[in-house]
Parts: sequence; C-alpha cells; structure tokens
Amino acid sequence: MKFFSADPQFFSEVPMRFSQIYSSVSAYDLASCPEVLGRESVLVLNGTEPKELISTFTQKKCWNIIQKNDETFVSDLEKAARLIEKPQLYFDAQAEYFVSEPQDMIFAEFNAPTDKERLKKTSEKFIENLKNQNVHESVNCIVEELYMNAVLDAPREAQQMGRFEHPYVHGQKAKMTLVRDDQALAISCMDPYGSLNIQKFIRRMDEVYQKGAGESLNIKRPGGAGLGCVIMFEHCSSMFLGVVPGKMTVVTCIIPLGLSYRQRAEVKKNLHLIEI
Amino acid sequence: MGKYEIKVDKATPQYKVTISGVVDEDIDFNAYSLSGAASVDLQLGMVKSINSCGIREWIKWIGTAGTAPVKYHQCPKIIVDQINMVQGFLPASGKVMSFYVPYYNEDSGSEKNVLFTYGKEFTDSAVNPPAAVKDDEGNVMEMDVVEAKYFKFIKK
Repeated sequence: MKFFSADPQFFSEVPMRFSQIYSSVSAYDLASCPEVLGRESVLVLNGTEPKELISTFTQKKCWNIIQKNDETFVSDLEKAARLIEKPQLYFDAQAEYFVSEPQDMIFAEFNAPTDKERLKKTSEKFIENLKNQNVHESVNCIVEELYMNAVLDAPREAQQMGRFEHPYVHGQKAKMTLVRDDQALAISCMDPYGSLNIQKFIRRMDEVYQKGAGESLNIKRPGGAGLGCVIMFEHCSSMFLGVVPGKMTVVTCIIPLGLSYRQRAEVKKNLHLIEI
Repeated sequence: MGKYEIKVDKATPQYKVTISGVVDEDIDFNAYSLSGAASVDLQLGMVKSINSCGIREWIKWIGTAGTAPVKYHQCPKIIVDQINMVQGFLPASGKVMSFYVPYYNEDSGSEKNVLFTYGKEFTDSAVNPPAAVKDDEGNVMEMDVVEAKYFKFIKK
C-alpha cells in the first residue's frame, strides 16, 4: 500500500500508525508520484476542488484520492486502507461499512420504474427527522441518480457489452440502502448487472467538468443525460464506485451530517474505485 | 396533482407558465411548446426536485421559446444550482427575476429561505443582501451559500 502526499506532516504521523496495522505501507512525496498510480496507491491531497480532483484522477489513472479534511482524515484513510486490503468488505457491507455505530438504517429493493415512488417514499421517511434541509436535498438528488443508474443505465450498459441476460427480467432486484450515525449518512445502491465501466464513468465526469455540463449534456443519443455522475459527486463528500464485472455494481455516497450548506461546500471530496 | 403539474396561460403572447412538483425522466413537455411566445414568465416556486433527465427535458423544452425573452421567478435553490451548473438551463434570452437564498443560524440550527428580487436584493452585476435576517426566535442568521458560486449567474 503506497501513500503519496505533498504534506510533510503526513509522513511523520499517519504512516507509522498504519504500518503497525498493515503488512506493507510506504509513504512517498508527491513529487515522486509515478505517472500512473495502481490500485494499492492512495493519493493524498489538500484543498483540491472537484474539477481538478477528477482531472488528476483521470491523468494519474488513480484508484483512490483522499483529501485532508481535519475531522475525518484519519478515519477516511483507515477505511480506504481496509478496502484496499480486503475489497470484498465493500460489496458485503455496502453502506453499513461506512457508519461505525448506526443509529438508523433503511433499505428498499427495486427493479422497475413502477418502484420509484416507493423508493423515494422510503428515503424521504428515513430523512424526515434529520434537521438540515441541505441533507434532504442531497439525499433526494443522490437517490434519483442512483435509481436511474440501476434501473436505466445498468441494463443498457450490459446490453452494449453484448450481455443479453437481464437479471431484472428474472426477478433479481437492485437495492438502495441508507444508514447513518450522528456524523454521516451513507447511501449505497447495488445492482445485479456489474456493468459499470468505472474508468468510462470517471472519464465522463472529467468531460463534464472540463467542457461544462451544458456542452456535454447528452441531448440526442439514447440513454441518460450523462450528468448524474457529477450531480452525485457534487452532493456528497466521498464517493465509492465498486464493480464485480458481470455480477454486481455498488455505488456509495457519503454525506456529512450537522453541517450547513456552506460548511458542507468547504469539505473537500474523496473518490475511490474498487474492482474485483 | 400527480408527480408534476405544468400550467401554460397563452391568453396573450406573453405566456405565463407555472411548473410544480418533480421534474424527472417522466416529465412530458411536448404539449406545452413555447413556440409563438412574445415572452415567457416562468413561476418556479413550487418545483420540488429535478434530476439529470429532467434537466435535459427542460433544456429541450425551454429552447422552444426561441429568442423570446424568458424570465424565471421564485427559483428555489435546486433551480439556481442548475442555472449555475448547466449552460443553457437559463437560455441566452433568459433572466432570473427572483430566487431563494438559504440562511442559517449555527447556534440554533434554524434555517430559512429568503427571496431575493431583481432590483432590490440583486441587480445585473451586484448582490445587495438584506441588512439583517432573523429566525422566528429573533436570532440573526447568516447567508448559507458560497457566494462566488451561488451568485455566479448574476456576475455573468
């Protein structure tokens, strides 16, 4: 496991603690960062805006970027390190992996447009006792886009890959899980297609950020508008994209709780890819 | 009302449109073309949510107004976010006449949306927020946005 960071303090504190837990941990100065970072590398940044973060992700072919947010930095590093070592944890636990002492949890299964209203009522029920309006707005936006990815995009991507067996036709379902403690809310959506091309997803995000959402909007081609990836990322502090090709895709968004709109906007984002 | 409601008053060439509810992949703007309008006034205070497919349908629909001046009224934050993020969501002939700004008091956690109106709280190039915004308990509230981002559409 390799960590690359430009922050000198990082090297004196965190790697020592990690090397006591993990068998192989090393830390490197950002200047010595190779052109392409492998799956076991974590790029540690500080104060990077989403557009630049995605650009870096694309250029370096990263799998993990974590930013130094004071409140959650060490916890973010620990969670990411565990997933690098044991990626199956992510697919087994999904949203629950990210919340240490859950105070509330709800899930809904779905596989058709007729399920959408029930899914939305489920998520609205979950958040109705949460005080901050900004959380309500973000949960609604993320649930909308995760639903469309699972019900509309996943089957279409599978078909484009030449896979014509459709799990939904055979009764399999996608599953949306929401879980929270007093610090954060995690939303995971699992679909049984495993057709997410995570590198294509990241390239699409880069295109939207670089060209602008209006210029890159898919108006004419069949399928989605192509903005959901960025909409979700804008509404969360961390996003995890996981795929077991041909079997399962799990996308998770983490929303910090107890913050105002402006405070949330100041939290710098993390992004992780997981594929097994 | 179902998921959404669209009302278009075409009694005069100055079309008056109200959109309420959820703007998503199920919205059908086909029956509400704005073609022929001399101007369009769009009331958006009752829009509850909009997703990426809804954004696409909106842009296609608002394009039917052609070069007619379009005015957006009472834009909730979710609409302001799209105006700022998606070029074309507010057409080239469009203007925001009023929009909501979230305010927040950190101590009490109270939240409030305050309507900013063109000519009063904002102009073509500047924002003039109210002198003081207070919650129901009299606590002073602060503007709860990153101003450079939220007011981006004004500074353009």
